[in-house]
Amino acid sequence: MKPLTLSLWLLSAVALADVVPPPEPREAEAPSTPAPAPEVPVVTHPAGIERAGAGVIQGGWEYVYAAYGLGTAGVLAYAASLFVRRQRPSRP
Amino acid sequence: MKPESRNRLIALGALLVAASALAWIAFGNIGENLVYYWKPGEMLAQGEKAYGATVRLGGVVVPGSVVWNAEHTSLTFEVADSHAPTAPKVKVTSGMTPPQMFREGIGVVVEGTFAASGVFTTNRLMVNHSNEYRAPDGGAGGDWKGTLSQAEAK
Amino acid sequence: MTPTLPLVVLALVVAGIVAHVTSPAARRWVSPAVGALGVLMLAALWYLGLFWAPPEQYMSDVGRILYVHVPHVWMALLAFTLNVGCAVAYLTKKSWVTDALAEAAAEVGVYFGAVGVLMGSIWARPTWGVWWDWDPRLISTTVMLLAYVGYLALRSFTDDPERRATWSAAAAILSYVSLPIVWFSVRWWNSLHQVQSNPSTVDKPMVAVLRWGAVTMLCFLFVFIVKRYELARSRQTAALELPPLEAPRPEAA
Repeated sequence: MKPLTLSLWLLSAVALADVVPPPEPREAEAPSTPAPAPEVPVVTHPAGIERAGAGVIQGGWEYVYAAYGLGTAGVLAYAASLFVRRQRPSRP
Repeated sequence: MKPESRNRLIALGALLVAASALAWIAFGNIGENLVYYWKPGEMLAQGEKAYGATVRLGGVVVPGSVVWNAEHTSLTFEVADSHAPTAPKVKVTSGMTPPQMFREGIGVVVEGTFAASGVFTTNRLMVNHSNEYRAPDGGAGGDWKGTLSQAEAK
Repeated sequence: MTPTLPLVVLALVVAGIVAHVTSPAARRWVSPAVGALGVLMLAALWYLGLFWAPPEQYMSDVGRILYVHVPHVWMALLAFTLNVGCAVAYLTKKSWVTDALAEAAAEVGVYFGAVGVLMGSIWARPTWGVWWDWDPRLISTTVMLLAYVGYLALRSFTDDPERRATWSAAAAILSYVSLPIVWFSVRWWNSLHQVQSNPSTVDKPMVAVLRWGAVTMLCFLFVFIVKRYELARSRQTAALELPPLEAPRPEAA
């Protein structure tokens, strides 16, 4: 009796699995966080290739700061070099 | 000779040499020997001489000609002399990731070899920028930040 | 850029330098004031160039390098123009002032040119895709800078002030040939570097910031040239006052 009931229950459950909608999530469990999105497999391309073709540069602030920093450092360095090389007005 | 007049003679001589050197470079045929890149029409006109040697080819990317292969590892496109539809063009295949500004219609310079099959193979793809500097909406003011975030979302 | 504007700017710099050279009263306050103005304008340029100006439609934020790269190269061209002017002036009428000014302008020009080229290289990496390529503009600019480095080397290797002044003035005139070649290289030959922009190809806020950058660098150009001039002058007087290393000996009998 018991094994028969169990196997019948299992069989019907398997058969119904495709038909019966999954049970509604119980209200008590809400507010549940949405299930994390399935992970998209990462396709590795040469760096940045997936962005190619847009025709617009993305980011690149490091170059901008490098150029502005170079200009400012250059002004300071050249001013310093003029100061170091200055001749004392009093000569023996 | 007095030093004063000698100095003026030196000035005159230097100015003459400078002016003739400049005239020679500007109006002489030095430009023909100082070729940075060939346009497709110029390269095709070379005939067999263009095959095999490492040369630079420059022009504009023909709109609609950019094709990635399935694995996105190589890129083919056509380079034309100009935007005119009848301009001579050459097919280019590139194995490198193009700079981010690469797009249809932009000017490019590619360094590589031209084969008898009519395909130019390159591993050094450079794009150039025109002398135009515009805000993203094509004018002063406006919501350029919104346009930019749209571009980033793409 | 209207063709007369560079000439007006050059005239302004020359007027400032003449005031500095001729008037001791002006010497005391003009260069400190211009230097302070330059520092303030540079601080503002960081804000204007990095945040106030819009990004470029294709280069986005990388386009902001425009406001420092172009002014630096402009200053180099101005300085070399001043240098050749002084060289011609020296050969026409001998003067230690124009000789010293020529030396100052050449060195400051090499400074601005070298920094401008380095900035261009930084800009080229994200836009062109390469740090450097031997295109006509880059070749001619390199040749120009090397010519002026050679000019400065010639000056430092020649001990006799009179000979140095004369022959370096001739070298200055020859070096100046490179300047029109740099300017026209983008028109004469196919190049990777774009041709010159003008206000009709650049949006208004960007033109404004570019001009701000140019005036900022102009302040530094002026201060650097007059300070370097003072150094050249004091070296000159020292050299002229010193007795010759070996007094000419009477011929031994």
